[in-house]
Amino acid sequence: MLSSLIGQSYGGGVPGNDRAAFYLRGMRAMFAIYLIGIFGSIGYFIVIGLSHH
Amino acid sequence: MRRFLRENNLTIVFGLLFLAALTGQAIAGHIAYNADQAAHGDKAISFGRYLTSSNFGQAVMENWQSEFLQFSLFIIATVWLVQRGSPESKELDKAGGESDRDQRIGRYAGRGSPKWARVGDWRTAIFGNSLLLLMGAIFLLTLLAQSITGWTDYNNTEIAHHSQAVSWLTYAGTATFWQAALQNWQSEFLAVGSMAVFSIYLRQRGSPESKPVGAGHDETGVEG
Repeated sequence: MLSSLIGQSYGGGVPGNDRAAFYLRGMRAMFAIYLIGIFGSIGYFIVIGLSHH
Repeated sequence: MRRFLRENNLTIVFGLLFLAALTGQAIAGHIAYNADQAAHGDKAISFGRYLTSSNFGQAVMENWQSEFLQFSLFIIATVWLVQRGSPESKELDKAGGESDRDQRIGRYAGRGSPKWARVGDWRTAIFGNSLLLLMGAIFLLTLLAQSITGWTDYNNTEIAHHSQAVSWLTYAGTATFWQAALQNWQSEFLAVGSMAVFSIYLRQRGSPESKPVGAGHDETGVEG
């Protein structure tokens, strides 16, 4: 759902323009890196907090 | 690649600064932790063990939660609250959720509008609050992570001092937990208020966080 939302929002409006689509994918990659990094870190710390208890 | 770096360098640079600062925090935290262990006659731990310790987790999550609280509150408060002359504020007569036309949603959506802004149903309602929903969710999860890691660290100290371990709920009500949370919150709230008020009369040429250098002091919601 999220990928389709982001795709529609930022990458869907450039049909046939491979070069532009490539750079828009880069924008989506930055979004994904931050999102995965943040939620991954929170999950990691919750697990270590519980596992050492 | 050059174009990618040019178009994304704000998030790349801050991501790298974050990783560098986190690495520094881990190294300094490890040294400080082992110094404390030595002072109590306990064994030193390895760097790898420190990275998986609740002591490190609590220190990281404590700061994360306050930052995401700051931005969550800033996002929602600036819907309704205004400051005359501040570029961080909307124009005074625009306080509130604004009209569909102003927000370019539903039938007022443009060609480049995201699909969820165009559809006008529940998806538009979610998308219209998605930034706050995400930042708020991260705040709540980081606060939870801080409470869990802090609880484990607190109990480790209690046990080392031959005291009774406490439940998570008891720890969440301790002055220790709230002192750690509130010491971060107060600084975030002061920083937001300072940014809103100092930017009325002061400028940073070229920054979108500032008004244009030549903008009048009473111009509100104008970004450079």
